[in-house]
Amino acid sequence: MKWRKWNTAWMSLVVCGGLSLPVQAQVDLSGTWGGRLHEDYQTRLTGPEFVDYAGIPLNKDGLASALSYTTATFAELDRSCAPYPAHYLLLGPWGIRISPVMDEKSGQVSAWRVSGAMDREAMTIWVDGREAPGPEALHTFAGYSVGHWQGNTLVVVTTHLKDSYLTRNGVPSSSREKTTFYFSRHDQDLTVTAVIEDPTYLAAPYVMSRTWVIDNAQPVGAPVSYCTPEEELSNVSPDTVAHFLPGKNTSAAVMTEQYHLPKSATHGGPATMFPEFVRQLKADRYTPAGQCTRYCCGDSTDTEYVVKTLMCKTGP
Amino acid sequence: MSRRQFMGGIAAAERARASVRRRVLTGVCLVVAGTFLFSTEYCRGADAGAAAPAPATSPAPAPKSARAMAPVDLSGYWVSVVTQDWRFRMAVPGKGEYAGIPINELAKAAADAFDGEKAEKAGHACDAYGAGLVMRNPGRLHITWEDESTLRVEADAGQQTRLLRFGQSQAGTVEASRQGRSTAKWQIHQIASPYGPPMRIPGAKDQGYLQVSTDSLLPGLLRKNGVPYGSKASMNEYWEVYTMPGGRQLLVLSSRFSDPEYLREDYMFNPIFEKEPDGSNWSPSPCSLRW
Repeated sequence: MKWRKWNTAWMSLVVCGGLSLPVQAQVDLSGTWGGRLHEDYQTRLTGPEFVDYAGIPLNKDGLASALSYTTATFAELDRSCAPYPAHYLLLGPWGIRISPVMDEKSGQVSAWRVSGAMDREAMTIWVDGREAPGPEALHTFAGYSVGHWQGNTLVVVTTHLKDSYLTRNGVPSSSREKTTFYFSRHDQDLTVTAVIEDPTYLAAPYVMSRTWVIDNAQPVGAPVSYCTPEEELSNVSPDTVAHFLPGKNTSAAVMTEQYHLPKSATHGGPATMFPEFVRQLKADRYTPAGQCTRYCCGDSTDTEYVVKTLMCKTGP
Repeated sequence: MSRRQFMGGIAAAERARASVRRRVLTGVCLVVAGTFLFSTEYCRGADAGAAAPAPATSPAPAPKSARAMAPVDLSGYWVSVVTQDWRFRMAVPGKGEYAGIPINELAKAAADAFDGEKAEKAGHACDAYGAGLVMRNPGRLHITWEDESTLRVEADAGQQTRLLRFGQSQAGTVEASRQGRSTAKWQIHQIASPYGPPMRIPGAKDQGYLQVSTDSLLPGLLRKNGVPYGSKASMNEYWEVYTMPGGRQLLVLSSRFSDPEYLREDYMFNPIFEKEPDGSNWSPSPCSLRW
């Protein structure tokens, strides 16, 4: 009799457990993920050249704002952390660490926390069904992120970002930015694709995609340091609002001198993202530049190797 | 009530309770068995194109073709969205610009010695349109089903064609070609079960992505300024389709390119495409090492 009771209880447990399986697919995103700088090496590591906006769908205001940018901006404390908002996940060189935030009562994942090694604030991606707060709620560099699963892809919408930068050469992003991230894990690789919409400065969505590789050999306690506002350029007067006036950007011709790229390319815009732009380059009589002199090679996240490759040395 | 009647009543009640327990137990067993059969049925065919295991009895229904099992529609016209490595893809970069590619000394020496003009005159322009670079060249893809188990991927830039074949890859070596031999497999999204193998999502429309493995490649170029890959190179790709805000579709190819001859580690890149409504912008162009 006792055996029957136990058998019934056990079977019921199995069935109830089966029926309570989550109705949506979820994969475990947690872990430490190492970056690979194989695409956009210079943009992500040393930072892009000044006035290199090729492939960025800037609108007229975005271009005007970008051309007014100078590195003296970093002398202003309130702007010194501006280059590191949520989308810096894809535009910076660092690896990422992802951990689940568990709801202790239900045992379900209520959020994913996505932190970076340096500069960028951790993102908390809420997956418990909550909605983003109203438009007047606090805006931060991390923004407010809500996610849901589509199959095994975590789709995340991030809003409530502060005015900041899209790239480290001064391409602006506004507090109206909305970024949709797609996190897809393929075995030991994690691909994150971002669609950035910003009606203030972009004429079309800006799309990027990167892949990280699982790297759980990293120590769990590896230091993470978020950006702290500090004075980086002491020779700039605190009364100065750093900027170039229209038409006065002293770096406007760098890309043409260094890489022979015409202004039609370096000033960006939606047309620069698509194959037809090759015709414009032909019309502008583009010819490849001579021998590369800096940032010629490049590769990896290993610091020593990065230093070597910046000097254009390759090794085994 | 006599003692006998009283005891008889207890026995009847005990029999009734035992009967209820038996029914419950039977029901539970049926549910468990059904759940098991249901989940195994769903697990079957997660790798489309592979022959489904035939049951021991009764003739098996014909396995679904790769086309019929597609969890995502890749067919149509796709335009490349060049937002990454712009300077190296939209234009031919200058000599010595190898940033990002994990080349070794041998590759660097070969690239340093490369002369695009000579190579083009010698008929090697299409070396920059092999599987290692064709998806990164600015252009358009036209994806169709060649047959029930083969996806045909045409690129207008360089007028190349990749054939992605589902099913078991052909054993042994095949003749090397510019686009090589590509073996494709649908990966259907599954849910993790705490009590057994992952299951497909009951009742849900299948979602998933395409995995493609490519080998048997002719040597080619990873960048138009001469960065080479060799005949032992291979590539693994995950083809994911995402729906952007507003409903437009993106195709992202998470790619890992391996080459023991010229690379120190796998070269990883993610070409991005956006779906177009029709082929009105399809514009075939010949291979070129100048553009």
